[in-house]
Amino acid sequence: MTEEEKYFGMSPLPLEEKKKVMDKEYYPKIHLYGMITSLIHALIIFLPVIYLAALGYFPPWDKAILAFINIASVVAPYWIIEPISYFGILGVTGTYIAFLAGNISNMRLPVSAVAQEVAGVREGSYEGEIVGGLAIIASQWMLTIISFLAAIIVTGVIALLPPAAVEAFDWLLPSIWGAIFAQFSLRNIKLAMIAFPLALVVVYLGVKAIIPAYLEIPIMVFGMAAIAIACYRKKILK
Amino acid sequence: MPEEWLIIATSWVMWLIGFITAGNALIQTLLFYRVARRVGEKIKMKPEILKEGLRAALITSIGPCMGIFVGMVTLVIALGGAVAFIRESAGVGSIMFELISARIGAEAAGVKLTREDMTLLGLCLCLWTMAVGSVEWVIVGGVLTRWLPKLRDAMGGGDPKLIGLISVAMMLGAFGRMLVRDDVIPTILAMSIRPTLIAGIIGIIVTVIWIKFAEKLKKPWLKEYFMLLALLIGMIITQLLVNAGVVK
Repeated sequence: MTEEEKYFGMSPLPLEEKKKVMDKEYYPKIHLYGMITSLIHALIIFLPVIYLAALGYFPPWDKAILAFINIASVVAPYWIIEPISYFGILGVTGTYIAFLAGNISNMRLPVSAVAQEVAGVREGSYEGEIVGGLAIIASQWMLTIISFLAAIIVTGVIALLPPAAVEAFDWLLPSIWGAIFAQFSLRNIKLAMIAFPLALVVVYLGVKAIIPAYLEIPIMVFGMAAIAIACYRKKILK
Repeated sequence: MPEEWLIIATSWVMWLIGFITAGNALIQTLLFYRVARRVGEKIKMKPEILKEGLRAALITSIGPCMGIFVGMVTLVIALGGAVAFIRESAGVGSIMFELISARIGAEAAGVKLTREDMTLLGLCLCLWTMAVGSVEWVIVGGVLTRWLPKLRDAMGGGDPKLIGLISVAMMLGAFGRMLVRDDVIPTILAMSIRPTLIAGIIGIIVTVIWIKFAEKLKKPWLKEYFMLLALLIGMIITQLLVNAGVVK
């Protein structure tokens, strides 16, 4: 398949002209809206706690601080590592939504990747930013409906399903990991053949606690980026 | 008569907070949508390409959303539907994060994360932990994102081909890790084939066959079904093998 056939969704405009429009009309607006809605969300997240406090129920500070330390010890490194590591894939719009509404690896990344593949746009391009962004927007609409439905009816639905059908959902994410890895292996099989053994080593070291588990994501994501850059410069990859 | 914590956790105010939380995320996406559509057309992308991307995203999100739907059951049972809606519609964390933080909150209160054991103090601490454990992502995402494009430009040096290659490499890195961590390592550690490995392999096979098939027919839109197919076939065959006792 030729480059042109593969990336049939790219705009015919010269790169410079696209850049001008994006820099003037896209990024400033997305950053403005993204920052305002995110900071508002940072307050909204505390509404349940504020509501309980208004009713006169607030946990004693020693217990509240203990709970904070315990959750921070599990997730704190990811607060910084995830936005930086996933940005290159999520794009600007996708990053704002993903870090406001979650479900990154199980939904945002796959949805954005499939949409870009179907629309025939190059990853990391301006067109990729727009199609990936629209995809993640659509996934949030779907999530809103589904999470509302689940909140009302999930216990009833689960009771109706045979246990084997419920158990089958344990294999949903493992299937997605295989599917997305395969999709990108088809894009570049050489890089895939580096990524898989590298992941085996890195995850093994993480599981055995030889390296902290939170380092797995940045080592894999930036390690692979560095390998791609080196191979491209040495003309091993094109 | 339900206990007081449950009355509060499922009160109309808690549902209202759910709609405010989901609503803010919706407002954000609607603002983004307007900009993306307008600028997409302005840089001369074909409207049908944008539409096709949206369609593919909606179809692809069905699978992950089914997983989230079923995964929410534990949270709904433990803390009621309103809290589950607040946290899952737009609460940053995945189901896994919510369950971990709820458990940490419950432990700090000295109770278990079950409906029978839960108390008002337990509910307060669960909600507190969920909020203080996830708000940092929103703040970091909201404030830091404007500086991140510089990082990418510095790596790619403005060469679109290289930037595309880097994105593919990053995706392979991120999902290579997921594939190994969830699908491959359990089998290696157990020294016997685990169902997750089967599911991963089926995901790979279905994807390769389907994408090649779509490319051969020169019908790229067919690709929008590969993920849904991969996960449905992966789930069904793996579960059948588990039921038949072939893998445990």
